[in-house]
Amino acid sequence: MQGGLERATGEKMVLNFGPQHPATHGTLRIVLELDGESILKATPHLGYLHTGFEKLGEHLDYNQFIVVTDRMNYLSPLSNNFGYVLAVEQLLGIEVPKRCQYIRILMAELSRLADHLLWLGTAALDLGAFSVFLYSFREREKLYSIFEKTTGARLTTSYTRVGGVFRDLYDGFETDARDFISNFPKALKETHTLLTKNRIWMDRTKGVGPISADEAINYGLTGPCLRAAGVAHDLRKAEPYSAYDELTFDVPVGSNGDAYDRYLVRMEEMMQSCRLVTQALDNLPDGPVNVEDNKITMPHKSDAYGHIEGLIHHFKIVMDGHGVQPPKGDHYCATESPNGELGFYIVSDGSGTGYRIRIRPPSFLNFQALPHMLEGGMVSDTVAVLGSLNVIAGELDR
Amino acid sequence: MKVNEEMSFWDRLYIPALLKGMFTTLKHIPKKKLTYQYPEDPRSVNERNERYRGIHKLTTTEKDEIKCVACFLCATACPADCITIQAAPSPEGWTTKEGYPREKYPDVFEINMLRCIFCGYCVEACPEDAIRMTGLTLPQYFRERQKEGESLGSSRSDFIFDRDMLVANNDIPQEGLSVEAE
Ligand code: SF4
Ligand code: SF4
Repeated sequence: MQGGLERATGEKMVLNFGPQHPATHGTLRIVLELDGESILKATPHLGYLHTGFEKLGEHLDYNQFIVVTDRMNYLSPLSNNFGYVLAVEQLLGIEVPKRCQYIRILMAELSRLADHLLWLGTAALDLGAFSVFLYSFREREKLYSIFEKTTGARLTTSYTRVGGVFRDLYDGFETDARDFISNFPKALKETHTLLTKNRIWMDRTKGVGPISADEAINYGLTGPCLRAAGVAHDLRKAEPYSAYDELTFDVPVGSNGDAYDRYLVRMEEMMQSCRLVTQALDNLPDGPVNVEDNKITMPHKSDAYGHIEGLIHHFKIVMDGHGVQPPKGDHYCATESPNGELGFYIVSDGSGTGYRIRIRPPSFLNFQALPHMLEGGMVSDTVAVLGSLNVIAGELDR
Repeated sequence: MKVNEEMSFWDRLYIPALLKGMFTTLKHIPKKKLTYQYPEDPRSVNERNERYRGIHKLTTTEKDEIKCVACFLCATACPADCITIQAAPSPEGWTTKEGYPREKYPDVFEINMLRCIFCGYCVEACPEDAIRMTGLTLPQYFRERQKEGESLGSSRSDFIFDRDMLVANNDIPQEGLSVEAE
């Protein structure tokens, strides 16, 4: 590479990739220094989609902040909802009922499927495989109608609440979910036929943007990108949260850490998610979904309408400075979101609003490994590598 | 669990994989189309259930009195800060469920639909079941109104729904989010 730099003296070409480029999936910008077609230097730039999420956390109360988490990783809002309320609950020192844990896992795994499906479609689309895009969106659409029926919206789900969920699953959820899961492997097999052994796909992704296991750890990669490099680290296994320790699944790992391995790992993860959903449905316990503590969750509506205590609790939950108030202190809680470790670090000053809510998004750390993967490669591989990392611009600038 | 695939000689030839792919796509041609034209197609509206978060409505009693008692809980719960309420003494003769005279009602009740994020927190927070949601999204609502010959949606003020508009939304047939059924 050093030799390349010398050869290019005075003849480098600077190419702006983004901020508006169809393959960046959001507004992000990479400045590429090129010598002919090979990349000498890649510099990612941040700040094109600054959202102020963390700042919002300083003036929205704990339940209100849930709506903000929807919009962080817009491919899997349900996982974000889950990760955030888990952090608040651990700060409060409460545990939600078993049924609620299972419901959350169900929704998180379904949204992992939705996330990977969208990733699959767009990553393949970027490299010219158009039909894969259509087939994966067809499957994703089924998931989104399940989400819509459960949460009331397709994207802005806001499904969880501190101490529970917005509502129990709707009647018929089980049929819908089982229906989806039983047809899903067939649909995924189509993608395997189209891509996995296709030489064009293999040539464009195999050996492209490789990263070794050590480097991946040094860069702080998590999720499928880390596992593709051969490190079997999955927070659901390493530090089981919620009810994940009661379910069995495998952690797929790759060997070369290239774009192709990241593809294979995600494909296998989808199958594992299906397993998890089936198990969670089989073992779904009965019982209440919310913690029975009127200081944390809203009382049932019949209580609020019919009894003065219920009404007072109802008012207190909503009113500033009377609702959910974790004790003074701080807590970090990480969950395995579809893209990797999604962490929330919450500092509480004892009031109803967080003093500071710091978010550790997976995409931000995955994005910093991008120059390492790109440099020395070809300019046409940029799209393949960027696609394989699944960088969500909404998570980059909080 | 290791995932790995290597290119065999057969894959190197590349034509078989192409043909297989071709065959897969061809199989899809005679299948039923799954797409629908989102806002125009009524199917998407009719499938919505009692959790769907569309535009709001202010419910009324059988005597056409607004149920809202101007308690400001919805405005407090709203993460987007888009509800404006001004309380006033209720008109003469309005009574509660139990028949007592009512004290307050909202003289002004505005929702700024440009700020609203349709989270449904207001519905959840209301202690009187006075605010609910319908099954129509904002664009669908405007489309319906435009069909009736109104020109709407061209200025920002059209998006600030006042009390009477919200009460009129009771006529929208599609139901959306309401408080949990007993
Ligand atoms: S739906 Fe949410 S944002 Fe809209 S008015 Fe209600 S609470 Fe506010
Ligand atoms: S709509 Fe409900 S919550 Fe809002 S002010 Fe009226 S009664 Fe209170």
